[in-house]
Amino acid sequence: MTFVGLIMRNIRARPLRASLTAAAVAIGVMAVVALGVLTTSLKQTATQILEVGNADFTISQKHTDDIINSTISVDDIAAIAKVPGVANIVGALISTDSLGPDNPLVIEVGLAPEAQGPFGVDILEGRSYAGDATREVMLGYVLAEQLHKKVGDTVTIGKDTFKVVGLYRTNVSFGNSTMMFPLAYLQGANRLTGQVSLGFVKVAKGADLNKVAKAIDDRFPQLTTIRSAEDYGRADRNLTLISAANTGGSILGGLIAITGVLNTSLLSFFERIREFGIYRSIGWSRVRVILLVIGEAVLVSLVGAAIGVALGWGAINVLQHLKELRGIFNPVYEVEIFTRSLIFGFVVAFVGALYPALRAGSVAPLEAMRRE
Amino acid sequence: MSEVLTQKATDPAIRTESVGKRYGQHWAVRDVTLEIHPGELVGLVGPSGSGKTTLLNLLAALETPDTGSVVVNGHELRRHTRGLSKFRRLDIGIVFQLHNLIPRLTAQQNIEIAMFGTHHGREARRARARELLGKLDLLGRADAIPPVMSGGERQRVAIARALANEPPVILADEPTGSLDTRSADVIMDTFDDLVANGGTVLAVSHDPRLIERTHRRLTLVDGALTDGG
Repeated sequence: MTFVGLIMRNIRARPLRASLTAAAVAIGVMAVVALGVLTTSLKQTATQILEVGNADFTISQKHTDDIINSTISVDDIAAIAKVPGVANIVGALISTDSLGPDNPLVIEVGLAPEAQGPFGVDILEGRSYAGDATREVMLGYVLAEQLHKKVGDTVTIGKDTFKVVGLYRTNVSFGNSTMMFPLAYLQGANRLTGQVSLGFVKVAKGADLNKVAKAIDDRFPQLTTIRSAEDYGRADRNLTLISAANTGGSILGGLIAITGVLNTSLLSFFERIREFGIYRSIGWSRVRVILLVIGEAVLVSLVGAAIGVALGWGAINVLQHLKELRGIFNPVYEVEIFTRSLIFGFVVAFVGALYPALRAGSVAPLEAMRRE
Repeated sequence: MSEVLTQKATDPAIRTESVGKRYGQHWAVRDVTLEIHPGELVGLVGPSGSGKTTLLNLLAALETPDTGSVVVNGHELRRHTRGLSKFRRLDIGIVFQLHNLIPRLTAQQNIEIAMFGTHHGREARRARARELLGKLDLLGRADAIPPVMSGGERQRVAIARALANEPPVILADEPTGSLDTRSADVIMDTFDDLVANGGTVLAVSHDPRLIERTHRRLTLVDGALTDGG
């Protein structure tokens, strides 16, 4: 018999305890996986906006709670276009609307027809709307598939009906789940005449991107340039909140799992105190007894972690089909999330079992063997 | 050996000098001085509560003395010394009155776990355990777990476990008490073999069959050695 063999035999001897420990870890890992994938996916969806039209950077209003609520005057957009080094700037209005209970959250983009090219819009079918149209809309092809709409059909939003004049694809996946209106119409509908949400800047060839961004930051203190996901997080508090929720949820999941492991390991310690006394009396070192207890917890926790990963994957699939997240939640499975989950399982087992293990290692053999 | 267990080149396998152990106001062992040499099978007798088991526990470093000194196999056992695990693993073999086997492990596995932390590899542990089971007439019960074994079988497994690492000193508490003659004979033959090969056995016993076969006996009354020290 090997030491690992003994660990496995001890685990098999207490299936209920092992199952409870594994369940506690599985719940924690499930939370870490689900929250991790959800956060990463939402972040990616959100930050994909930075890549629209292959812009070098995006401009938004400073300190907005949600980047969609950012407002920039078209005059500022025009002024930025004249900043040395700026080759092109596209102003877009972003808003959200509901297409009924099955599609409660759809992103709308208001864009002038001539800005579609620089914005990275590729018309797949039909044509662009006219700049002054008030009842024309284009649909991203993914949204069109979800709505079962094609060119020539109509879409009703509230009391207004719009004719689908074209289907498009963008260079970022989330853009394919949006709907696009003429900028003037969407500005009016949202009572934001003369305003856009974001500006997408393309820097002239040879110009120093950092210098151009700094020039804009200096000249327009109410605005901020976004060049990275970190900048995005600073500009959009929601992204910061999502990350904080992920961290908080993971910590909570960890605490639940550690408490579970600690609880079952402590109960197990009290049940097996005589056994630990026997090990010590026949010459086992403290370290060996500690390794036995921690080894059992780690092995059970790794099984729990594997179950948790599977449960997390299941939870993500459930979330993916939620109407509320349709179009904005496209799961991103990063190896790092799963690696982190397994490490989480290991750490939880180690921390949860450490105290019972130390107690097991320090039992006085005679006293322990007198226990029944 | 650990740096804190001091090794001395002494002849006796076991030596105590004025050793005492007190529980509260009660002295369980008082001023016991004795020497036991390699090749001796010594019986420790005395009425119940006379301190026999306490003395055995002091020699096994399971208790620490309040007075005096204990030297076993050249190692002076001091209060709060480190390295006692290694001492218990390699220098002595303990046979408890209540066997103290792990109930869910088989007879063979109970012996094998005593060899964790030694130079024995997996196969060597298995071979040694089976050798001892054979010697103690238990090979057929190698895969039995203690709850389904008789008292005699359990005691023989406990002795096999004590012998696993070939310790020079065996400390046994009532090793043959209430056992059938066959089991008792196997155990006593094992002890005879051990001392014939230079080992030392100190056995606490009330069993006349065992006491008869000891080379000498020590008598403990009210914690004090009255005879044979």
